[in-house]
Amino acid sequence: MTAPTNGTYYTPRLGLTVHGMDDDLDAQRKNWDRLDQTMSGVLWVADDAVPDDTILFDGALVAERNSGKVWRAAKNVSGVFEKKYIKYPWCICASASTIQDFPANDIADHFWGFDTVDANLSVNATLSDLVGTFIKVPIHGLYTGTLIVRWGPNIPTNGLRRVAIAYDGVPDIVNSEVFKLPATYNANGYTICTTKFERELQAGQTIAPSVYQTSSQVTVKFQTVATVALVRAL
Amino acid sequence: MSKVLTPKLKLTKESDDETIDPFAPNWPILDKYAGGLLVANGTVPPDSDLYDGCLVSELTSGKQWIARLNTGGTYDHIWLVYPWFAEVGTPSLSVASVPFTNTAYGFTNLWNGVNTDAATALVGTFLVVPIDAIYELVYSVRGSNPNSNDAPLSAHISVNSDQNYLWSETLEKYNLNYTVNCTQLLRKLKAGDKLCLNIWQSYGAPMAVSMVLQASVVCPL
Repeated sequence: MTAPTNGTYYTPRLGLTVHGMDDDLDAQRKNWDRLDQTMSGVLWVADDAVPDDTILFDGALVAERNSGKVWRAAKNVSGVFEKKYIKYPWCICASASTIQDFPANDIADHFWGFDTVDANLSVNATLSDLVGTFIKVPIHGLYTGTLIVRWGPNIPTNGLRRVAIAYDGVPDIVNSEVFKLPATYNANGYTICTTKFERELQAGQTIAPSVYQTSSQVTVKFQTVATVALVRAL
Repeated sequence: MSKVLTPKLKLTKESDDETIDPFAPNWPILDKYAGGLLVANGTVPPDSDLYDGCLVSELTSGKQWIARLNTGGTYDHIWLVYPWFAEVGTPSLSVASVPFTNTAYGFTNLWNGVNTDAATALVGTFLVVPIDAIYELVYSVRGSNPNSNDAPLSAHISVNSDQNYLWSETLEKYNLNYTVNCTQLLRKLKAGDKLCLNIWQSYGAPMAVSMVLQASVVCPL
């Protein structure tokens, strides 16, 4: 409540009259404060903060001041409020800081993931969103992403190179790209395999590239980068 | 008994009962803000109409934002929903055969758009994005290679003329005949960022190339 103007008190945001000169109506003043705080617009909170249950109500819209996350309070059967995200900006751009030598003729799945998160290209994601070298998604939702791996420079050889998406460490060999090395090469050319995905993932599930090559080329340099974003919170 | 009602929610504003009249100013306020403010497309209400946390919805664009009071006493727009899509392309261009040397190529046409038009989406031949957001970018490049040799055709998205093509994603294919490269990536971009494609090929002669870029907002920031 703000200071009185000519004896009348107003709520701070909407300027509703809380009470004036007529004392008979003062008993209702708490209603106006409540309406002012909850009915209109959103409840602003600090990032990751949850308003007290005395403020929340079923259907309240809560917005984090800096993260951009917006959620609706939904009371469950136990009477506890759950977050139903309306907006959850999350994007991670992760890479491996070291260019590694990939083994020749090695058809075992290598889960060569990431150890670096590019802060300039990521949103609400940091190194804490990596588990080991895998990307860990923060909440239940629909996700989309692209994994890129690059071998090279190429030298004349035969064979295949492949990248697949691995969910929780299990390669999805359908969700992959296989590259057959050509008979002739452009000097200093690279083999680049790109694979994309869209999938419903639960909070904590992981994503990583699973790669192999049947090429006999040794000491081929290997790099990897991925961007994954939340499309819709569920 | 005569009553004065608010226009949308029909709240009782005044009646013959004088004891409720002190609350009369409240009802138009509640009536105005219930469900958020509706404004014409592209309209920003005056600060006097806003409050910290006010939801503002544009009538037909689908855009919705939250007013956030900043330390300067004015309001920032925090986009909640921002439908935006642009499909831009160039039907025909000639790319010289220069291995590993990127040349920037822009777009001449807006073929499809949501909440945009050619005048705002294209600045020169750059696609310019409207707000800070996570964007999904899908692009395809089709090159003519009639001699069936293994001619690399590489294309990656350039943001503000950057050349960091690992981050930007490079396609480098050794396909036969006509080549259609298509890839997708996600990218955090700032309002005003300018996009084009960096392309090179080493077919040995100029290559006729057509290209398209589709961009959409995944999540406003």
